Amino acid sequence: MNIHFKAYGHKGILVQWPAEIKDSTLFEQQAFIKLVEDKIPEIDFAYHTYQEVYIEYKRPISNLELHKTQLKEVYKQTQIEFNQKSIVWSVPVCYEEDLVPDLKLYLEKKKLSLDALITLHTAAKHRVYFIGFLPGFLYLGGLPPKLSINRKEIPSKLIKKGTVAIGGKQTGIYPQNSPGGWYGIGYTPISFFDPSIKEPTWAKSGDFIQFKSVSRDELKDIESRISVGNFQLESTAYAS
Amino acid sequence: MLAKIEMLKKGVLMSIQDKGRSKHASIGVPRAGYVDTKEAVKLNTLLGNKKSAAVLEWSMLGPKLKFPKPTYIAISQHTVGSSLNGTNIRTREKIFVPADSVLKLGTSREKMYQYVAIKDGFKTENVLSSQSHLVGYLDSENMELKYVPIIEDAFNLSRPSFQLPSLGSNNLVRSMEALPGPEFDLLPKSILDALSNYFTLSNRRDRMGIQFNELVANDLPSMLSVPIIPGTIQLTPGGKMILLGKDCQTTGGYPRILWLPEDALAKLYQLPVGVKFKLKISSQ
Repeated sequence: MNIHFKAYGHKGILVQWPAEIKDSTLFEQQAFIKLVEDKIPEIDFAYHTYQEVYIEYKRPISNLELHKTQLKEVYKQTQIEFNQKSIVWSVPVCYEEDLVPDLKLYLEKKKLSLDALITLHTAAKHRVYFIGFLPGFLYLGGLPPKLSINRKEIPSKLIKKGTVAIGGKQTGIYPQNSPGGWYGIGYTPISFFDPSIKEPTWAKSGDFIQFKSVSRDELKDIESRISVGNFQLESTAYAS
Repeated sequence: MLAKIEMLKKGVLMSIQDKGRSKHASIGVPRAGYVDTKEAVKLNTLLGNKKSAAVLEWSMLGPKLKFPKPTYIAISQHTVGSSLNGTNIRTREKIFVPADSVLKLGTSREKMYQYVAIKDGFKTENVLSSQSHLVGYLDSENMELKYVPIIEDAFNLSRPSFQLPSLGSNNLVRSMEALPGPEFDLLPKSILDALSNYFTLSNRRDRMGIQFNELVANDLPSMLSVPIIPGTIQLTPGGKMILLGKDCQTTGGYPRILWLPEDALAKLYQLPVGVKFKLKISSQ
């Protein structure tokens, strides 16, 4: 078994995989979380990042070794579903300088043309690995290596809601106004978090996001359709 | 019928808090909840409320509120300078508020976060099964504060107030219990030695976290984003120690070197700037 268990706080146990970004780890974590939540009623909730699952129990843990053994047993029974179908969501993005103040700086630093950026960024399928940082903030893998850029040394005070940004080897979408250290390269009118509905996020880890470049006019059209509740995201199934 | 409180003057860092919403970490939602759970529960108990009823929290400068209908309130222990219709009122006590009263809430030199609880809890908007403030979605600084008024009768008016015995001053507590965090094992002896020094809290503090004044030099490796929970102390590459509060993010990328149990977290959060304390690290 190449995973480790560690106590975290009075009620939590961390399950740790090797520190890397891998689809097989993601699938294993998803299957494992489903199974532990099913089989161990003492668990309150669980969630994951690239290489860790955090499990919180309803009550403080009195016998750590017992819980670890129980989790190991469940891990042994965990089966990864290969050939699983993932949803690919098509998310409209307007890549224009006056919508995202960082775009010019990003292109200068990367010595890229705007067309090259759009071509590369919209061609890739970006895997949703997990949601964190802000409510509904997706951590997306699958960035073409040519587009990666180190985070800003001094984070910007305000990145606007809807900003599609690159930080390191990842793309992220700011679901609300926030300080942040990533470079904004585009703007999307799509909402990624709505706490007034039962499932506040429509994207799930394991899904893909594919960005679709839209013009200023198309952006306006989509915004007005969203405001009257007449816009639906396109999605397709993809066997990974 | 609910009565609506009129906000005559806002306080500092005001927010409505209940026990929070821990179950939504998988979609990046902070837990939130009372900074000082013990104090909030105490006040709710005094009023005969559910333990988890919503209270109003603020820091340093309290708000001024007008109540159109009668109710009961209770104010946190160390809050000084509170008055009802111009008369000073006591803390940790069930206080009758007649119709059309003006309540001025005070401040504290000993505790950073103050509370007022109301009979049956504040009635405000609920998001993801909690009334706690949620940045960007539930703005409790500007929301309508409502409450269930009580029926004014002879029994209510004649009921004497009572004072609970004091639990003693938290100011004497200078040693905070801490447990090893997930990356504790990576710490070399030089850092373990540095952790046994006195620390103080800086002005860089809010419900998401508090930065310590003292730096701890380190060359710990950088990490991918991992789960984080309130009470964790992170150590940044620049040597900053950051204590994560109830509104902390669900994921973060700095080594999680220590973790403070809920009681210690509340005590540290209530400590004013400049007070010295030590971390007493026990094994898990």
